[in-house]
Amino acid sequence: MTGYLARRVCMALVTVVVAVVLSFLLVHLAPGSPGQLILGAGATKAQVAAKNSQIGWNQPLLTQLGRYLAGVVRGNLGTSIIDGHSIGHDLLQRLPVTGLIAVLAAAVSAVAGTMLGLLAATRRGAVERAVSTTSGVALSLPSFWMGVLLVYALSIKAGLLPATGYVSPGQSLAGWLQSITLPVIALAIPATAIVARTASAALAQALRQPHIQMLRSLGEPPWRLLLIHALRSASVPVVSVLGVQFVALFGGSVIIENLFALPGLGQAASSAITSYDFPAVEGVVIVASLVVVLVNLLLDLLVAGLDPRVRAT
Amino acid sequence: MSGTATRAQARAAARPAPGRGRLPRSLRSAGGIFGAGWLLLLAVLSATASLWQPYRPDAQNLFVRLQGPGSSHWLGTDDLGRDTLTRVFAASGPALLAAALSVVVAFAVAVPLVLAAAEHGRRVERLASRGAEVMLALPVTIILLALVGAVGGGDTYLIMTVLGLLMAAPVYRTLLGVAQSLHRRLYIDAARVDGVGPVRIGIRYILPGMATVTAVQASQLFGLSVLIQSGLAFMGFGPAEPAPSWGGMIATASRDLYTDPWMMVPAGVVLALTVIAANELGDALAASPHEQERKRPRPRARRKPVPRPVKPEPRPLTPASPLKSVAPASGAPLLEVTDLSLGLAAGPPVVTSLTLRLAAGRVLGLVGESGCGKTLSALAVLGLLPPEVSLSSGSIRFEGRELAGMSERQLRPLRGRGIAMIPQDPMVALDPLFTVGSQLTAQLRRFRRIGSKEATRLAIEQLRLVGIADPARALRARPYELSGGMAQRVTIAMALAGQPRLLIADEPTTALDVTVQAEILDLLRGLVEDTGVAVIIVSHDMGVIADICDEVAVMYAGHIVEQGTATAVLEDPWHPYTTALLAASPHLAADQQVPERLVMIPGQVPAPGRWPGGCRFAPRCPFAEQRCQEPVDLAPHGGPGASGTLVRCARAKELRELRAAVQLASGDRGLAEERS
Amino acid sequence: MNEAGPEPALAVRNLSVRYRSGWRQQPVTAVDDVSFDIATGETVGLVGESGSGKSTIAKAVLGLQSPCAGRITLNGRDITHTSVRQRRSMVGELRAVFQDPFSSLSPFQTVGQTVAEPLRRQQVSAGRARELAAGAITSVGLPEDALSRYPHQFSGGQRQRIALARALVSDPDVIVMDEPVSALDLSTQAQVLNLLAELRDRRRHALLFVAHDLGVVRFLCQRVIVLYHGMVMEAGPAADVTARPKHPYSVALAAAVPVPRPGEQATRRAVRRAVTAQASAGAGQWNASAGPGSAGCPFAPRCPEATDVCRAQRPLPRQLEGRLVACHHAR
Repeated sequence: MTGYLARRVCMALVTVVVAVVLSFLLVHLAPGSPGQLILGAGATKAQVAAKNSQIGWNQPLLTQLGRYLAGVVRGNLGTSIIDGHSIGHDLLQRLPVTGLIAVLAAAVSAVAGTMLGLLAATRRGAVERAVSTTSGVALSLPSFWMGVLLVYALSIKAGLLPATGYVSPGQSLAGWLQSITLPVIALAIPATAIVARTASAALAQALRQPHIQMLRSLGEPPWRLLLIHALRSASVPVVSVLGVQFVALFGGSVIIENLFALPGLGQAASSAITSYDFPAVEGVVIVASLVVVLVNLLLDLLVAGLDPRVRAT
Repeated sequence: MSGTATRAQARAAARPAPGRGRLPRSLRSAGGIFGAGWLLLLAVLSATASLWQPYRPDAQNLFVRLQGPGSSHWLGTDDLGRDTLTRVFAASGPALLAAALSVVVAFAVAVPLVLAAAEHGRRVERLASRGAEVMLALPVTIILLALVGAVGGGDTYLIMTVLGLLMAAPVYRTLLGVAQSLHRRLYIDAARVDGVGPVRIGIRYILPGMATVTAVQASQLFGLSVLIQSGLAFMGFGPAEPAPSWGGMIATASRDLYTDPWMMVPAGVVLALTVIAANELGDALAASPHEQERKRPRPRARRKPVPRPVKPEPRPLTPASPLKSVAPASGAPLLEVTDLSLGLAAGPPVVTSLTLRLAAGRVLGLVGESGCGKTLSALAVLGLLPPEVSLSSGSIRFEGRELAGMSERQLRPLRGRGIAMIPQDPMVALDPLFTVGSQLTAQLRRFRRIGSKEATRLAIEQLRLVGIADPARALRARPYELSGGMAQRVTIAMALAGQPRLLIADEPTTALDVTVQAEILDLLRGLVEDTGVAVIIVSHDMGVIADICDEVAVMYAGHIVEQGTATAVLEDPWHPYTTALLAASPHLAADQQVPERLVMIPGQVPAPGRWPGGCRFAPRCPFAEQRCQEPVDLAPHGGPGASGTLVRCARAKELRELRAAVQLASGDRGLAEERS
Repeated sequence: MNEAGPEPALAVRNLSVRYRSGWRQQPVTAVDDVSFDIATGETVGLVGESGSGKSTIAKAVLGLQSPCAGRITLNGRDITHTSVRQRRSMVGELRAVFQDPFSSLSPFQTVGQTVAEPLRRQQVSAGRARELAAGAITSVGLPEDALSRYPHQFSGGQRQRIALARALVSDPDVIVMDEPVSALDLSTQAQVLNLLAELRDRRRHALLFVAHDLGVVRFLCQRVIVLYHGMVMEAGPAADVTARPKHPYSVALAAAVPVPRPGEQATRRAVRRAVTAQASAGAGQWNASAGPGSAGCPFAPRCPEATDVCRAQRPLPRQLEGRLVACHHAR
């Protein structure tokens, strides 16, 4: 197990580095330069060049990359070009907003999805088909559109929940829950659908396996077959899909933050992009990658705990 | 499990995966029609937009801003008075194209990598897979945002290309699995023997096999791509104004939610429908015929009135001795199957008029070739038929209780305690995630109501009794660490945990080596002698039957054609099929001459639904006559009421006399007299 | 293409094959120093249980597994390690028939295309290829119109015939058959075996027949080689080795096969009990067994006559009553 853990941690680190380098390269190799974007079309070449060297754009790529990575390792994500604030400090404050919403949405979809999957696996026939069709539609719905619809229905029309604004859990737990309910629901709908499908398929397949049939022939009651044996077999693909979904949920959370006026990473990314603050953009990438990779690492360990055969990979 | 189902599955598995008339059939489902139809409609509408659009997409008219649907603007207007209908469909063209671009890029990168990894073995595959693993863990949206940060949101095609590159990773992973399984098919080996190079193998044999999965993945990826595009547009990073985009339109709508809530509907609905269409298309393509068979409504087993309500009997089980002798019942047979018929759901019968009697301490063999219904007959006793098959008529009495028509709940107390099954493949019948000990003790605790320490002690005893030399070590092992023979001993120990009176063994030695098979048969025989348990053993191997069975029933095309004691049936068969089957076996006595050719039965076993009206063996029987077109009953060869082997053959007596006469003529006098 | 001469059609010398089952597992020696010849037109059986290495030998001959030691020659030419191009040129001499009829024919091609494919490698014209394919398909007892149909339209037995036709179409010198009848029903097996017997009697091709069933090998083959854990235990005329085996393993194997006659089987059971020790119960039967390569006879843990010399020293094959036996004590 320790060997497996070590290998997974290695992969996680590699992933973060790749994410950082990739975004660094994308930013630097894309046509145009920040100076150009900042100063606009009217600037002369000299002005652009001056701006670029001010930002530090003209140094050799590897130097810039090296310096940046060195800073990251020390925990320094640089300072914003625009307002000079420490990026790391800012993002660290924003992280819990996005992160908690994504985690909550993932948890909701895990529970709801598994329950729907169990329902579909036990009540074959009409219920199974209903679950399958509804999930097919639900997983195609864009969460930002769902967000807009929910805001209209539950906030404007019914007045149940606030449309925008964020209350941190430290200030008021109830307020926090109220402010994040709509975003979490919007994100959780497609994720639940995907988990439900995976769970339903995995459970159906698990129930067909010979060792489950053997237990059935020995008279094991069906609830035990389903909830203990089949669920355990099925949990591996479900946990794996949760890992993938978390990545999507994190991205989705970033997208809808503007809609709900949540002070999270999405807002930071938005404003960083529109103001061409590329150190801030890269900072978002690092933080986001770290979170995503960490969650995936935890889920990998969970899978290894559930299925010992995985530990050899 | 059952021969029929297995064969159907084998046929389905062997069917060509791609093209060749498959695509239309898959698409005939409602989802497929909708999916393909909508996407096509959208493509056509956007391509011909300039022909039919009522306004220009960027034509502003501030007098009519934020209007709902009306006669001049069918879908209303936006905050600048632009026609929503026009803009929604004007946005679709670029959206579809960009999504298609990302799909093409993803596959263009992934497919060659997959082919290379599958063909060139470990090193390449490991490298590529590790790379894909890293890519899979990347937060795609965030990285795209970084890209947007560099190039601005307007360059949709560049962004979609990068998305395609990122998406190559999950595509690679899925396709690799398919390619690797295709690579294990023997026709790839055959091609390699012929000297077909790796590139040709990839293109000619692997690619066609991946076609269905590719189509499914492409559809799903297409939908995802549209979603991500729109998400970026929603954030403001889509095509630059005034070019319309669905995401951008929804974002605009969200700002005017109080004044014009309708505006969020058209773009959102069209976007949602497009993604739904792509996913439905993917689902339709993914549906295999096997899947479609599964979805057919299953029949409920016909319920015969249960004579008396069944309560789980508290049986005195002594934990001390794991294998206790079971006193044979007073003359009444342990198991009585009368006139059992099984049929496919809304389909033909697969087993007809099966009648068996088994006393305690006796071993009955059901023998026949694949598809004869022997496995299904055995499964029917415990109510373990696959969902497609149901009991259509007949009676199954176990210790006097009627089992036919019992619900699952009523049968459950009997399973493991009265009747237990020994599986065909022991390696997969044990849970790979748990140790042997935990599985065995779990069963012992369930049946005997004992604590875990007691159960462990008992488990060790049980394992020793089934002949495992080092039970303590076996308890700690996982199933995949055991050899086939040991695993089968473990499953036998599990089957005996509840001290059943009847064991049903479905080809228990088929998956084992012949030397191991001999030992397992010895073990079973020992158990029968020591404990008086009765056994029904299903096999296609006449030798196995001869080794262990007291009684035999030979099955052909769903019914018994000969039934009697093992000695009688195997050494002195009456039915032409039995005779032919015995003659077709290449296992000869040590001193027998090796024949030039084996006796062949021309033709094939008829499938259920294609059985001839009269004797089902008649089309292949060298002795068939006109009267063989009539149905024949299973009757004693010596006439009604006589003892001895039961035969289902109109000419049985006649043929025997004929043979006697021939042997007489060739001087084999003594034998002829013995047999008449 | 066929040459009558003292050169064996297929010669295997000191063949050893090792592979790793997983990337972190110990290497397994599947085949350990195996040697045998097949003369032109002869039918030889390789028989053994799982883990005996019989399939691996067939794969090594066909180029699907790379030997780590030893030599394989085809009509005198060394084919131990071949390139893709070399294999292509051998299509006229060496062909294969595999075990599983459901996956050994490509579902994407018609039967005609599959059968004629080897000829394309030899630059045979399309018309001539079709002729030869038609000839091959009728010689295995299928009608000519089968050529335009797809494999999934045929039964298991018929597909094996198609596989056989594919092997015969180029009139090869050697055909390697890896358990071609093991997956077939008894009556279908009889049909295919009769076909193979005809092939054997024509004496045009050397046949290497891999099987686990002694009865089948006895019926079909002229000579048989008994393998255990990758090593040759006994080799000789099929009738002798199967009916009167000398090596304790061959004896155990022959005794273990059940015959469909209860009276006789009871006698055989008694004999079998006397000559074998428990196999599947013993500690020596764990899956991750210590591979051969350890000294001594591989059968020693299970042999009722094993002594210290058996466990210490691997017995070399020696001549005994017209056959080769690898046993210290066989008499």
